[in-house]
Amino acid sequence: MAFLAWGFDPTTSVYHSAYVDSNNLVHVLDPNTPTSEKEADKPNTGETDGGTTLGS
Amino acid sequence: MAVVERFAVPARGVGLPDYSAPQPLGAVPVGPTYTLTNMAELAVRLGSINTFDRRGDVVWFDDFESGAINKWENLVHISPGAVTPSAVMARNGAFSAMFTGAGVAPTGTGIYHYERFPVLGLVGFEASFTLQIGLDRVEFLSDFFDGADSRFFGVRYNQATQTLEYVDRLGAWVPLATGLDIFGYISLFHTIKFVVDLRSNQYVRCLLDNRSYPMANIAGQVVVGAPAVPCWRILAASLSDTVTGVVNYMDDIILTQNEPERSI
Repeated sequence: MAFLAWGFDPTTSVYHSAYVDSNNLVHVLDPNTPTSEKEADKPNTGETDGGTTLGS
Repeated sequence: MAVVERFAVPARGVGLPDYSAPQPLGAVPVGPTYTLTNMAELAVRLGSINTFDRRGDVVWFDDFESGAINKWENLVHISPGAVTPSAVMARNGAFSAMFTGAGVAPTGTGIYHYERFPVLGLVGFEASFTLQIGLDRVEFLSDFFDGADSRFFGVRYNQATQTLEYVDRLGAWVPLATGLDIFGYISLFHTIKFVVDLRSNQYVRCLLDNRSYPMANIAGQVVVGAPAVPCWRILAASLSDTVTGVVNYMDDIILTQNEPERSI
């Protein structure tokens, strides 16, 4: 279990954050976004948003 | 038979004797947080930063007097600014945190901190900040991971529109007060504090300088699906949409629990 970086996308004015669970799955949390539009959990492809830019 | 008073308490002045037994307070029946009756004024005179609104019990703070931003992580942004300790301006003590926007707009500069999960009660988040021309918004977010969901709350001062706003249950920024032109100056620290009730996932109140805004029955956002490890995450950020390199300062971040339920 580990958190990834918390980020802000200025093009959508939405905060993004994510964490990796014990099964190595990346879960994306999008507070400040209507729940119905929240991104679904997705498999860990080895690429994360940790420490990189968002909204690019 | 004459009534024997337990303590000879003056009407005002020195206050209660300091040998009163400490008592647990509020929602924490047993724990490290106890009261010291009537010692708040003394604490302030000894240099406490908790002078804006003393309600609630302080459970964590950062006055940046360590001269380092070592309790925080940097917000990720496509055009990130920098947060550095600064001795140029401070609300108290020698240091504050200086937020410097990047050279490319829109730019966002923020820091976030993880804290242990609090007792499910009324908790507060206080911060002091300066404003500068070109700074559009200062935002303060509070994210509670309860082991199943994320309970998300936030307030911000939108200098561009002169509004005080909060995050509603759908995740949108909603005006709480409009026509709010608070003065921006390099050495003038404004203070904002908002209290939320984690039992009901609702806001309780928001204070901005001399103003009090009731927020009873206003729900925060619940985002389903969250890490199984309960924790509390807060964020302080400065955002500029069009102007680059804007500098502002933040100081005296305070987290509290056992806040009273008053809506103002």
